[in-house]
Amino acid sequence: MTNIWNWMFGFLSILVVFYMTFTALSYIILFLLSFRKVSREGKLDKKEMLEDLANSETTIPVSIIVPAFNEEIGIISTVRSLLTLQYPQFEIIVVDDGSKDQTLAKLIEAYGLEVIDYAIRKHVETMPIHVVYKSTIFPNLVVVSKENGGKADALNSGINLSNFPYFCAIDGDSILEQDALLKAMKPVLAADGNIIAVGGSIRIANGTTISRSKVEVIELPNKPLVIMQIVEYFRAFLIGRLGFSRFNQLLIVSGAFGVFRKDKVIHVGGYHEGTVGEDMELIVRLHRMIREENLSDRIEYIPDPVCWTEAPESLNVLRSQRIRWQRGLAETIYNHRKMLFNPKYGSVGLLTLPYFFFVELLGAVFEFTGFLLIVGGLLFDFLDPTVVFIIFLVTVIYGSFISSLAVLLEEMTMHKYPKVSHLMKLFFWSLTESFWYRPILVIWRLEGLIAFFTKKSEWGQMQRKGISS
Amino acid sequence: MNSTLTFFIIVFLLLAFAQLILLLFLTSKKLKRNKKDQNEQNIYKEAMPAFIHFLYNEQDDYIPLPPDEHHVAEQLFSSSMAITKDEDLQHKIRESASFYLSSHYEKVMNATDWSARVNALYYIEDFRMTSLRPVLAKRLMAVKEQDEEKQQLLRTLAALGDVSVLSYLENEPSIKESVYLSVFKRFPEDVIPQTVSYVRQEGSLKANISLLMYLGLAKKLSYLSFVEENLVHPNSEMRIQALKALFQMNYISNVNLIQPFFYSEIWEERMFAAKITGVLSLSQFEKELTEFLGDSVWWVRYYAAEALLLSYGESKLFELSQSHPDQYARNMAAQWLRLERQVSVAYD
Repeated sequence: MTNIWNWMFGFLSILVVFYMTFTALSYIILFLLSFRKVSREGKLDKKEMLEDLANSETTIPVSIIVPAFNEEIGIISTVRSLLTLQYPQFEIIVVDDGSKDQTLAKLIEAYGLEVIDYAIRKHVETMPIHVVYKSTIFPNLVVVSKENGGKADALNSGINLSNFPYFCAIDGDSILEQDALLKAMKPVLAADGNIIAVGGSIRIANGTTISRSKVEVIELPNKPLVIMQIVEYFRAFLIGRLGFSRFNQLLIVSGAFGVFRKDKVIHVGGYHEGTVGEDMELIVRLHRMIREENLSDRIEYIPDPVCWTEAPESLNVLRSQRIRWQRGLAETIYNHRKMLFNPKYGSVGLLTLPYFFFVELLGAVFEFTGFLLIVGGLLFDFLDPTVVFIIFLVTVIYGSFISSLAVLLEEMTMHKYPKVSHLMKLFFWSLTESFWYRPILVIWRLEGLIAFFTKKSEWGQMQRKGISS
Repeated sequence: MNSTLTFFIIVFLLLAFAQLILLLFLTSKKLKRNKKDQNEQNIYKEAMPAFIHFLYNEQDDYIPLPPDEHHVAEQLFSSSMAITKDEDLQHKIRESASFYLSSHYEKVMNATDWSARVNALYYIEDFRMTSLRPVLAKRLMAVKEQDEEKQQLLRTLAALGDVSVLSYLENEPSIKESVYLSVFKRFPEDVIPQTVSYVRQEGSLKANISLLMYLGLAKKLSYLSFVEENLVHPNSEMRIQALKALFQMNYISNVNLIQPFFYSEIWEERMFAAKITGVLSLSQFEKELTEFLGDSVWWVRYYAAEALLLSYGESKLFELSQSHPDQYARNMAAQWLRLERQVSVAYD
């Protein structure tokens, strides 16, 4: 009996060590991939680079779609920030997905909306549209009031109403920097339509002063929970997404800010309803289309375009966000399980999707198992406490080291945080990550996996304070 | 067990040391950057009034600027350039830029820093530093990658009036139409006749398509005959671009030229025939437009309805919304009658 336990313990230990080593190496590889691009392009004069696009009549017009459900706090400032975008031609379509609060009323009042008869082309089936409004003040602002159908359904309604060949999806509580759309569209224009989706960077606005929908003073928030999310976003975007994007392997374009070629999205059937991770699901479906139809299309992540969003400040709200994310990831991988390890889907099927499956989805299981093994090993004298302590320290310092590399990439690209004290704070909290932030994330990600098997879909709502004054 | 422990201790120490070095590096970099930014701001603030005085007065000597403050000089000249349309002032700014920056840019163009070279190219274009043309031409030959540097080299050389970039483009099959277009848009007015004649005689299909795009966008009516002769080109993309250019020019020498496109099997040609009819308010295609209102393609129906509205007025469209035999046609006519939108529908 003892032998079986010993064998199991040994087997699981090897599995966890293998997983940890693989994850550690993958981050270093992704960092190196990102570093080359960042060190090359980080110092480009962005203003000069975009000057031509900003004034060109050949710049492709874009429809900006803002799905909104109970967004009365942030929607006015989001729309206001969109109206001031530097872009030659764009329209804004706010889709009110049957909000129960004052979202629609606030929009009607703020932008002088009046009912219009609008020609709608039904590219994708959606829940019925009640009324279409148009602003009497801003001719490029349209607001749609529709029956509640979820975020994917709201985005599909926006696609049906849009007039332009590319659309930009942005969350109802986010603020786009004025040149963000230009920066996102630059590679699209350079590639003559071969780039079918572009994701930008999402930054956490808590602590930052945003006045009249413009970022004025960038500061770090005081709450460690939010600072940890800032570091986490650096890592996810500047190491993860940029690294994958280098080889056309980007599997996520954040729902908070992404640009898409409309005909391609319609071709694959629009956003899928019934999944909480509609953003990732769409990108995976686009990759599937690229491989199945043998196309040369690309999906890119561009670090420069920045979208500011409000991060959860309480454990409860962050928990429900992470459960939703993990569930969305599980649903996407499950729906596209056909692609896993399938050579027909090239490196996406053989490498990237399995990476997401093992590292992003099952990572929490491995980490939790590792934790149990350590506790069990210490309790039953399988492990030497000194070795456990040293390995724990290595894990802590390694996690923090990767976060520091992400801070380095941020400094090389955007250096948004101007003070030395910001750096110190980011480094300090990175060091603490493994003690408190990572363990709670592991628990929530496990809950997300359980939710995948149990719960039904809903709009992801969080308590908001609003990010713009 | 001892060796495992030693290994992990070494890894821990290495990572801790690396992180400390990284923190020190980032801190010193940030301190230096903040100090440099502050210093540059101060120099800029001091230099701006003197430069404005120099621009608006007869003054032979250039204003004094600290050596190696190239970034300040760039900001000073480009911000001045952005606020004036006066050609004499622009000329003075460009001369100043050449005086302060041309030798610096020459060095940068021969250096290894990729982003510095690309940034220099942006400014060389802004300041029209023609003296650097040979340096850029040499660099263009050396660049192998199809990246921002190569594209900006082509754009900058075009802005400096170097027509030889055209033959370079023609020898690079991977260059996209958007690059051709950006080159055409930058050519100074005096080299346009030479460009059109070159493309007409020796240009590839890509060059011709891009030239048609350019002529339409720039509304170059003096090249109308070139555009119209391409309406009968055997390649459909050429015909479509010629139609699009006519639509953008808002002009056609002989309306019969668009007649065949009402019977085209290519929907884009039918759509542009409808768009041109609408924008020129031509009255002789009522039968064709009425038929287009029931076309199988939404865009053709859409622009046919618009053309009917523009050429024959609301009453005609109302009549068709009631009497057209095709239900899609009736719907489109009705939609246009109710339509309130001012957002222009773009098809590119």
